[in-house]
Amino acid sequence: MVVIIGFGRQSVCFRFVCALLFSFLIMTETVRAELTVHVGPVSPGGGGSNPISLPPINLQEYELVWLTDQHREWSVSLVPGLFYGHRYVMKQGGYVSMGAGLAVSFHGVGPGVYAAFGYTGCSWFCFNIEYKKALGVLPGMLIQPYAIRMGVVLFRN
Amino acid sequence: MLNLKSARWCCLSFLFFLFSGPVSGLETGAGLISMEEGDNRLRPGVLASISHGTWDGRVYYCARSYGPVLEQLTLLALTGSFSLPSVSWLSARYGLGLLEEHTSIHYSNTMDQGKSRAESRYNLGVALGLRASFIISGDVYVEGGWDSYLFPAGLSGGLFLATGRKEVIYLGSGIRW
Repeated sequence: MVVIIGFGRQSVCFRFVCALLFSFLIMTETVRAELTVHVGPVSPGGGGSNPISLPPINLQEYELVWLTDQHREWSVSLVPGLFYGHRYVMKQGGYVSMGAGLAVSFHGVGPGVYAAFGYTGCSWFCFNIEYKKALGVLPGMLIQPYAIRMGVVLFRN
Repeated sequence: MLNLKSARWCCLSFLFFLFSGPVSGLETGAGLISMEEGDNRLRPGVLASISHGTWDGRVYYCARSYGPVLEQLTLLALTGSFSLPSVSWLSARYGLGLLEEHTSIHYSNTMDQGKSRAESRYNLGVALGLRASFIISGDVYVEGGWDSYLFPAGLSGGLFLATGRKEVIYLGSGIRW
């Protein structure tokens, strides 16, 4: 992690290393997975959460979550960031996830951890609602972005 | 420094848990917190807790003063918890949070005393969090937690998920009776 910080957040090397790690970890997981696409208001640390844009055209409101059948998940969004973790699924469709990655906030980007609380329910389509929060470290401060999102689950078994 | 209404809520919740079942299995504790309110700034405070089985009652308190202004925040949380599979020391918590934010402006000089004022605001929200707890000696335990309290931001809170959040990171200790 010290090496990544030394590269600088905007450098080509930093992006290449992140992409390489991302690709390597994906290849070690099974391909079968479910994909959640959801949208909702985010709080990047500028004070409060904002209502979702209508129509929802703001890119920061979207998130993709890829869940493998070993309950490992990848979360990709502008806020709260890019994370990899484990999902603990409960009987009634609720779940708790936690893991680590890169937290993104109004004040910057830094390594951190995340936790998410959500629910997935299925009828003729699978609906998901989730609250996700992160705790990241920047020089001299902690950042704590979060988002509340709703959406659909694709490719669910 | 708690106002009367907050003290009343605290006492009621403590009495409820104290007499809701057998005393054995009761946990009481206290600790320190840092609270964040959507702006990445951490505010110090204190907590007191009482637990019985999977139910937990907590009170968080933060206060700060600058000049004639005094801001007090009291958060009462009533939550249930469940352990995560294969992680016995970690539990997830869910429940309700009742928030009181009290602001008072007090001028000590007689010329401005008529301008003194005070107001309180209340909100009810959802509590979600993670808690880690370890026994260190006999009946003494230490705990740490990362809790979120989500409050609806007006009418938009219900329709468009707009919320205000109090995020609490805490460390504490207590006794199992």
